[in-house]
Parts: sequence; structure tokens; C-alpha cells
Amino acid sequence: MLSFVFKRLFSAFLTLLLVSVFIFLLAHLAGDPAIAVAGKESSAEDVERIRVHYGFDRPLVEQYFAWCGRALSGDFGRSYHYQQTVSDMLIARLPITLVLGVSALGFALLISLPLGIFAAIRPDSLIDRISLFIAVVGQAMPTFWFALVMIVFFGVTLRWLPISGNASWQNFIMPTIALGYFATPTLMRLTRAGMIDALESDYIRTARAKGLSQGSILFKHALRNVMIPIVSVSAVQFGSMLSGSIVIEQIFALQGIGWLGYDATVRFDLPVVQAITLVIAVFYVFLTLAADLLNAILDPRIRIG
Amino acid sequence: MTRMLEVEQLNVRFSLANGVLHAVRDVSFHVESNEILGIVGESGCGKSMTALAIMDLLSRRAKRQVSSLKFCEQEIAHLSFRKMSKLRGDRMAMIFQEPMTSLNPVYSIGDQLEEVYLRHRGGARAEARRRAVSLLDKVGIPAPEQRLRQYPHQLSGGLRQRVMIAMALMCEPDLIIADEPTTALDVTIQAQVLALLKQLQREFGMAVILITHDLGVVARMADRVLVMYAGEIVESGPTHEIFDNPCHPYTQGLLRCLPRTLDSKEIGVRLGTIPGVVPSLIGETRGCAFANRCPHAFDACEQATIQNAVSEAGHNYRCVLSVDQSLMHFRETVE
Amino acid sequence: MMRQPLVLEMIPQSSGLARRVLGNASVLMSGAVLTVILIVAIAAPLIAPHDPYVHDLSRRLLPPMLFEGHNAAHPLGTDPFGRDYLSRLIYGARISLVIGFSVMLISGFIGTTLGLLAGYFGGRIDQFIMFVINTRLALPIFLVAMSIVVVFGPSITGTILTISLFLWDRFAVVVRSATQQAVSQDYVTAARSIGCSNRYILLGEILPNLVNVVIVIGTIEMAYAILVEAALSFLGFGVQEPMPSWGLMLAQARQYLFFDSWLVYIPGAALFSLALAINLFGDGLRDLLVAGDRG
Repeated sequence: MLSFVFKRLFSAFLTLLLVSVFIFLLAHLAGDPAIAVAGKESSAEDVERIRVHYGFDRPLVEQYFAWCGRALSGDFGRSYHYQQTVSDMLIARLPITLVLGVSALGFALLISLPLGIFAAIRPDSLIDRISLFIAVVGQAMPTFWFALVMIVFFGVTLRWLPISGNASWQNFIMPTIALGYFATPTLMRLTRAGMIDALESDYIRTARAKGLSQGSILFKHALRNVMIPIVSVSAVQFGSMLSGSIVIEQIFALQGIGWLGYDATVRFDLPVVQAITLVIAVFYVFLTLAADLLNAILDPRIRIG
Repeated sequence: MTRMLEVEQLNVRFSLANGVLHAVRDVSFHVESNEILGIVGESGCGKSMTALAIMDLLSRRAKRQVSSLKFCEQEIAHLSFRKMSKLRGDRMAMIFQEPMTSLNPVYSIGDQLEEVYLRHRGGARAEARRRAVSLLDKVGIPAPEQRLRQYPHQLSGGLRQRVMIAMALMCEPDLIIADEPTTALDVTIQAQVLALLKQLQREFGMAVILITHDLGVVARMADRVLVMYAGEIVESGPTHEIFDNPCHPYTQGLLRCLPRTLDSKEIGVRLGTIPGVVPSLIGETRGCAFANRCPHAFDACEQATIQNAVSEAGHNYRCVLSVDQSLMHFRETVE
Repeated sequence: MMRQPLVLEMIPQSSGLARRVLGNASVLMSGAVLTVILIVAIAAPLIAPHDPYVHDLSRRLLPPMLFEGHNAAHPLGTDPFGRDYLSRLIYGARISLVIGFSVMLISGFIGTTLGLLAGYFGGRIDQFIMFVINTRLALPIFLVAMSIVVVFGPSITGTILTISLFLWDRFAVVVRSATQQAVSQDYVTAARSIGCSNRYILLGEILPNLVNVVIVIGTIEMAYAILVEAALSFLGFGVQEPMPSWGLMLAQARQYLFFDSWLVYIPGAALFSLALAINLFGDGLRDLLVAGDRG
């Protein structure tokens, strides 16, 4: 088990390394950072002074390691445009995006799991058709359009929900639904397919032959086997949600890191963009690691082997 | 001796895209308590389906139809899932063919053993555990306490099958159905597991239905034999009778396929085969299903339903030939 | 915008007669819809009633037919600049289809190649490619795509290449696993034993068996590419003014959401229909090509 954890940690670390190099290179392709900081109208001397002050004149490799070193201690530098440190901005915004992401994933699971299980128990039934319909529609629906339509319908026509800002929990309802709806088709199909496979498997036949109750067969024996891929996919979906939050936060004016990322990219605020990209990547890597560990707990074949 | 199980007119049908498949056709038989009944036949003859049908474990796509299914004199054909599940694992149990996939990979051996007992007898987990240990010991698994904590993938095929047997015995059932329990195992392990099964049957006094395609297994283990072909029982009777005086041409064909032993005078005789293939079971079958491969078939064989003929008390066979005719054909080819 | 990790067994396996008919009907219908859209896009100059780029401020924000104040010359109304919405919709189909198709080809090529190499050679090569895949998955699509656009400037080619950079992973994962299965088959061992070169085995023996799978994934990725392009354009980092990308039209329509909502409904419905048709078609293809013997 321990070696399994170490191996996964090591590959997580390597992935993050690759990601950070990529982000760093991309940011530095974006033109002269000294000019970005100084502003386009600055004099050549000002630009040069800024270049030296920020260390932009050092070799790229050295800058990279300096950046990494600072990042590891939580220092992402200062925003070019706002008078704050990037870490302060992140700390202020991150919770909102995390809340959004967690509730979106929760929403998706809340719909997909019961529907998927039910559809598997009664294939070809009405529930099955409804769930497939939801899956097909969800996969083709453009997120942002869905969000806009919801705004018109719930926010304006019915006036049930607030349409922008993050004042209260009600502000999160529509964004959660918009973001969560997209993980639903995948998770639901996965649950359904996994459950159908499980219910047709030999070990479930054995469980029935032992006279176990329907509840025990479904929720003790079948479900645990089905959960294994669901855990992995959920982690990946959460990463997707963090990434897709840009669009949703922009539409609903939720001040999370997605919104911040959009704003920073438009303004060419390098440190912020780098930091947010890195943070999202870190989340993804550690979430998938956590999912793998959870799977090792669920599935003894992984941890004992 | 009471009849543990009585099956009358069992039919199992599957709805396929191109018709209805009759996997089991009008099968009727009984099992006494304290006997081993062997059901022998080739792959696809319907023997596994029969077993699953008795336990009501058929897949969703299969339809079971039976005029009477009596277990311990009680009709169980129309029991609900809940009532049937109380019988399964408790009074009747089943052992399956594939030990590699028949156990749930994510739960420990102990958990899977104990849950049968807890489900049907209730009580404390400690007692279930004690019973699990004692049964693991009885089926010949060394270090049973350690095994409880292990997972299926850590055990070999032979050990897993022993675990399956122990699992079937947890509640001391009256009837055990073993569906090809040794087919997936190595030959040496096969012999051990079969010997174990026989010993346990004698000790616990259960009824056992042993399903196999191997005549050798049947000869060693069974008190009575049913020979199945194309979804029907073509011959049934005490084991020695079937082997000494097989009346149905199919049974005779099967016996002829067995290689002769070294001290027999038939060395050098060509190994028998049964020409032709099993007919499709989609749609209704008229007459004898074996007719297209039978060396003695004539027109009447394909017309009407063949009745059961009796050779001796307890020995039935489904053929129009008389006992003497049939046995004469058999001895001709053997000598 | 969500990624849908692919599960090849998603199609229901029970084969009721009804389901088979339904499956076929959806392939037929979606195929028909796709053909119509394709024809419309190709014949855009012939079909579109107006030039999609011409401004006419005297006719801005005219509602579509059946609404009060509409103009018969503009059946779907006009946008804030007075451009005919129907024409922009038709030309927009071109953009979606071209970008979607190109992305599918490029990312399909990248992903299939990587998947083949990883699945066939295994070992270090496989590990390395898995790393690359994981790195790609860890990167947030929109943020990085936007950054790339900021660096290199927006363009159609740029948009295509950028999106391709993010959509090859599913090809790679599925092709890799299919290749691993193929490698364990006897025909590969047989080919090796008679001395066939690796290149021949990969291209001549394994790849042909994967074509079906790749096609099915290709359709789904194409639909996804179309939606991603729309989202990028919606954010302002994809196709730029004055081109009639449906996503861009939606972005421009946003401020008119409450009063002239047809501006939002129409391009959105078009996107949804196109993506739906492609997805259903892909599902149907999977039924026919991949899950052929099921049930």
C-alpha cells in the first residue's frame, strides 16, 4: 500500500512539474513582461528599471526556479493591475469557486446515481428512457446557453432566483445546476452501465443464490464495485468544473477564481493567470490522487494485489 | 426417505430476435433426500438452466414455466422473490462453475461467509465467524482464521471453490446444487474437491444435484443419473444401470466415446464419435431431438413426441426402440 | 464547459425490438439533420437571403416572423447591427462545421498516434505518454486557450489549433486501451513471429481494427469541439467580429437578453441541434460499428 502511495505521489509531482514548465513558458512567450508591468507608454529607462527590479533580465531557467520557489511558499507575486498580492486575491476568491464546484458535483451525483441505479434495475422502463434522454440532451447542450436560458426563465420571468453576484446561497443555485448538469450524462451512463454489468456478474448471482435481500445485493455487493470507476471519473469531472467555472462565473458574475482568471487574461495580468492555472492544475492532480487512494480503499485488489 | 425435490414439466424459454429458444423442454425428475443425483450432458443441453430454474436464478430474459416444483413437499413455483430468497442459502444452496468470478472481489472471504449465516440465522457475528472457521477447516483449507481476512484474488482456484462449498454449507441446507464444480479446476484438484463433496454429503446427509459433462465424474459420484440432450431428459436411472445397460442411443454414443482402459480387449478399436451437431432449439421441436444423429432412427422418430419407455424400475429412457432392440445395438458395437 | 470521459459500453445492451428500431430511427433522423445542415453550410452563398456582414442600422433589432414589428425580408430578424440573423446563422454553420471537423481531424491524428504508440510499445514510452495525457488533463482548458490566443493573437487557424491541443486526450486513452487489447491477440504475435516490422503491424494490422472506434469517438469529439469553439467565441477569445460564429452571436446578444431574447434563443438552439445531431449519429454509429454483436 505504501509503495502504491509513493508511486502515485511521485507521478503527481512529475505531472505538476511538467505543468508548471508549460505555464511558465507560455507566460513568457506572451511578450515582454517588463512592458506589461510598466505600461505601454513608459519610457525605455522605466521599462529597463522594471526589468531589473523584477528579475526579467535573468536567464529563463533561473526565473523559472525562482518562480517555483516562491510559489511553493505561497508567494505568487503581485498582480500587475490590482494593488494586491496574488495570493491574497486567490484566498479571497478560491472558496467561491470551490463551493460552486463541490455543489455542482454534488448535484450531478445526486441526479446520476439514483437514476443510473434505477435505470439499471429496470432497463427499458420509463425511468431508463428518461435517464437516457437526460444524458443525450446534457451532452449536447452548450453550458453558457443553458445558463442564459435559465437566467431568462428563473431570474426574470419567474423571478425566483437572483441572477448575479454572490450575496447569498441562492446565487449559487443556477450556477450549480448549469455547471453540474454537464457532468450528469457521463456519471449517469457510467453508473447505469456499471450497475448493469455488476447485476449480470457471477458474484451477484452467487449473492442471490445465498438468499441475500435485494437491498443487500444492490447496495452492499453491486454498488461498491460500481463506485470504483465513478470515484475516478468524479475527480476528473471536478477538475473540468474548476476549468469550466470561467464561463459560468462570467455569466453569473460570481467572483471566484474562474472570473478572476478571465479578468486577468483580458488584462494581461501574468502573475495572476499563472497562479490560477497552477492552482487549478494542483487541485486536479491532488484530487485524482485522492480518488486513486479512495479506490485503493474500496478495492482490495489495488492495495494488496 | 422423502423426496427432497420434485420437478414436473419444467420449461425455460428465451425470447430472441429470431424466435423463441427452448432451452429446457418438459423436464421432470425428482431428487431423494440423502442421494447424489448426477445430471450429465454436453454444453448447451440445458442442465445449468435447469439448475438455475429450480433456484429461480434465471436471468431477466428467460421465462420459466413449470407445472409443479416441490421442495420438501411444498410448492415453491410461485413464491415471491422475498420468500424464495429466504429459502436460498438456507435450505437450498448452489455452487457454481467459475470460482474465479463467483466471489465478490471487494469483500473478504470471512465477510462473504458470515453474511449467509447472519442473514438466515441472525445472531452475533462472533458465532457466524466460528461457524465459518469450522467449515473452512472441514473443507480442508489450512489456517482458516487467516483466510477469513483474505480476499478472493489472493486464493487459488481450488481454494476458492472450497470456499464456495463452505459458503453453501453455512446454514446446513437440505439440498445442494453443484453446477460443474470442478470443470474449471486442475485435474488433481478436481479429484480432491469431488472427494470432499462426497464426504460432506455422507456426513451431512444432504441431497446433492451434481451437474457435469464428464461421465467419469458421474460414475464416481452419483447414485442416480439423468442424461440430458437438447433440453430434454433422454434417460434416467441408477448409475450402474445406466453404465451397464444404456438404452438411449445418445447415452450409448456417449459411452462409446470414452477411451478404453489398458486391460480391456477393446484396445485398438476406433474411438466412437457421434456424427452431426445438436439441432437448433429455436422454435418447436417435433419428435426426437436426437433423430438427425441417431444411427437407428426411422420416420416415426421425427413425427410425434416420444414417450418415456421403462427399462426397469427407476430406469426410464425416451426412445421408441424397445429395451431389447436398443441393448442389442449397443452390445453389437461394443463387442 | 464539461468534458465527458468516454465509456464505450454506454449504449444499453438489452436488445428489445423497440430499442433497435429507436436506435435506427435516431441514426436516420440525425443523419438527415446533419446532411441538411451540411448542405446549407456548403450552399450558404446560394441560400442566404442577405450578406451576413452588411450593417444596416436602420433595421437593427427587428424581431423574427410571427412577432410584432417584423420585416418579411428578415425571417429571423436582425441583430444589433442590422445584419440579417438568418444569413448569419447559415454562415455560422460553416464556421462551426469547419472548425469542428478540422479539430476532429487534427486531435484525432495526434491522439490516435499517441495511443497506438503507448499501447503497442508499452513500458517507458507508455509511461511517458500517460504523463503527457495527465498533464493535458490537469490544465484548465479555457484559461490556457485564452492565454494562447492572447500570445499569438486570434485567428481561425489559431482557434482550430488551440482547441485541437485540448481534445486529443480521449482519442489517446481509448486507442491506447484498444491497442493493448489488440496486442494481446494472437494475430499480432503471429505477425511478429513471421518477422513483420513494427510499422507494418501497427498500420497494417492493428489500425484497421481500430477504425470503427476512432470514427465513433471522432463524431463525439467533433460535437464537443463545436461547443468549445462556441464557448471560446462567447468569451471573446475565439472567432472574432465580424464573423458570424454562433458563440459570438450569443455573446453579442447577451445584453439584449431580456427584451430581444430571440437573439439568444436562435443561435443557442442551432448549436444545441447540431451537437445533438452529431452525438446521436455517433451513438448510432457505435451501435452499428462497435457494439455490433451485443444483445
